Amino acid sequence: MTDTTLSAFPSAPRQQSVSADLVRSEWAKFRTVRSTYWSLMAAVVAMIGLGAIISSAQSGHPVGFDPVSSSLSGVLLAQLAIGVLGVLFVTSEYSTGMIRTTFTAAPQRRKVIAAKAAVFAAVALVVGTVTSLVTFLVGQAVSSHGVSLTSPGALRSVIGVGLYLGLLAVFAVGLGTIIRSTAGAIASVFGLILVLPAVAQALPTSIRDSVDKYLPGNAGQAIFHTIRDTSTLSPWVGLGVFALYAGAAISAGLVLVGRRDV
Amino acid sequence: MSAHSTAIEVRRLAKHYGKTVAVDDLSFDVHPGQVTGFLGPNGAGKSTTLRMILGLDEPTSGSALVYGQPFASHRRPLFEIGALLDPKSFHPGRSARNHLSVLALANGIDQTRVDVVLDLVGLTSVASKRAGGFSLGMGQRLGIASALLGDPSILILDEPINGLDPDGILWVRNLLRSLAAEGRTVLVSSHLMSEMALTADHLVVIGQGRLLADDTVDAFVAANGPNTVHVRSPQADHLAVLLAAHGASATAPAPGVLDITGVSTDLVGDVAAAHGITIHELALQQVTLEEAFMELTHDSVEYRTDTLAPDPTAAGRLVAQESAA
Repeated sequence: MTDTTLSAFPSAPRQQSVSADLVRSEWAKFRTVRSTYWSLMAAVVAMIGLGAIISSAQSGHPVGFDPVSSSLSGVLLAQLAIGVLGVLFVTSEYSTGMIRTTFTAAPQRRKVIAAKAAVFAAVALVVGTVTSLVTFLVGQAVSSHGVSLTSPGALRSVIGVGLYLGLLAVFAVGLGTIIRSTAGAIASVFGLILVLPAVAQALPTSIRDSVDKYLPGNAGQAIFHTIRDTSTLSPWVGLGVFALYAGAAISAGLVLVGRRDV
Repeated sequence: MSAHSTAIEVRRLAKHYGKTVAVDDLSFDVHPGQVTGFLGPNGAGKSTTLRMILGLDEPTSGSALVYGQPFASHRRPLFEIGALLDPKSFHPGRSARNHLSVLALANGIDQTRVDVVLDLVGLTSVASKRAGGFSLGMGQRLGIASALLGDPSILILDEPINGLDPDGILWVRNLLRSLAAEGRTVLVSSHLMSEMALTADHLVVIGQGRLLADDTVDAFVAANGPNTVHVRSPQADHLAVLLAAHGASATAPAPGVLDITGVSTDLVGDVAAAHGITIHELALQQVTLEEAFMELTHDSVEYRTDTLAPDPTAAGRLVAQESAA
C-alpha cells in the first residue's frame, strides 16, 4: 500500500537478513543483564575449583583412577549454571512481559528463539571449552598422576566438555521455550539430566543397563570419560544421542512458540 | 490511495477462550491523521483486540490487518508500528538505554535513535539505571520510547496514562495530538472517558467484546444523550408552561430551577424575553463523554456491582469508581 501521507515516514532502510539482526539483538540482551556474568562466573569457578580439588584429593588412589575425567568432574556443577542461564534467557522474558515487546519488534518468533539458542550455545561452547582446557591443565598440575593433552582421550574429553555444555545450552533454551515458567523449566532440565538416572536405578537390572546409558545426562557425559565400561555409550555416540535430545527440545520449542498466544 | 486510507482494519474479529467470548464479531477501521480512542469498561476485550492486531494472539476467527497485511508478515515492524502494551514490558535488570538498544538491533534501527527517543520521553538522566527500579510512570515513558523508536506511522498504546502524574498525562495528551497532526495513525485504549474527550478525535467503543459505537467524539456525545438547558428563574413554573408549547420537557430539580430538554438555549432565552420573564441563569449542560459512555455501556459491563442500582447512571458511577481504583 503506497500512500502519499505515509511515505513521508522512514521505512526499513536495509535489506540485510532479519536473522542476523535478531542474533545481534539476542547477543545484546545476553550481555546486558548481570545474571549472565554471575552464572558464567559460577560455572567457571565451579569447574576449575572442583576439578583441582578432586584431582589433588585422588592423587593417592591410582587404581582405576581416570586423571582426565577426574580433573573435569567440575562440569557436573558447572552444568547447573549453564542450564539455569539457558532457561532464564527465555523464561525471564515471559515472567517480565518483555516477550511481548520482543515479539512486537520481531514477529518472526521462531527466528527469535533460534537466535537465542544460537547465541547461548555459542557462549556455552566457547566458555566451556576454554574453561575445560584451563581446568584440565590445573587438574593435571596438582595431581601426582597428571597426564598431558596428548594422552589417550584427553583432548577429546577437553573439547567434549565444551560440546556437552553447548548442547546443554540448546536443551535448556528449548525446554525454557516449551515450559515458559522459570521454576518448571529448571526443574525439567535437571529432572531429565540429574534425577532421571537416579530414578532409572529402580529398574530391574536387565533393563536398567540398556536404558541408563541412553538417558540424556549419561549419554552426553560419555564424551569426557576416558575409561569406558559396558554401562556407557562410546563417547561420540553418546554425544550424538545427547544432541538428539537437544534437537528434540529446541524443535518442540520452535513449533510451540509459533502456535501459542503470547 | 488518499490520506484517508485505512491503517488498521479489523474485520469480524473474534477471540474465544473456551466458552468465554472475549471479542465477538468486531469490525472497525483506524485512520491516519487522528487520535482514535479505543474505549470500553474493564474486561471489554480492548487488550485482547490490541494483542490480535499486534499478532501476539491468534484470532479465533476474523482478521486484523495493518496496512492490508497481518502484523506477522511485517519484516521490520518497528518502522511501521510502535506499540505500548503494558508499562513493565522490559527486563528489570537491563538499563533503559540497553533495553532500547536491544530493540533497535532487532529491526536494524540506527543506534542514534536510542538517545533521541530517550530525550523525547525525558529519561536521558536515568538512561543507565536499571529499569526495574523505575516507577510506573517512568515505565510508561520507557514503553512510549520503545514505541517511537522506529519513527513509525502507526502507534498503538494500551492505557498509556496509567500511573502518570498530571504533568505526564498532559505530556502524553500533547504527544498523541502532535503525532496525529503529523499524519500518523494513533490508536489509544483507555477506560478513562474524560481523558479521551480531551485527546481523541474518533471513538471506537466496545463492551463485552462487541462494537457499541464507532464515531467521532462529537457525534458520539450528540447521539448518546440529549443536552439539557439549565435555567434558574423566579418565574420558573410559568416558563415551563410556555416552553411546553414548543415541545420542551422540563423537570424542576429544585424550586426556581428547570432542567429542560428538547429545545435550544436560544429558544429558552427568546421565550423568556418575549414574556418578560427574569432569567438568573441560563446554561447549556452538555452530556459529557463520560455520561454518554455510561449510557452506552451500562448493559455490557462485565464486572458490575448492581445490588441496588436500577438507575443506569448510578450503576455507571459504580463502574467508574471501580475502573479508577
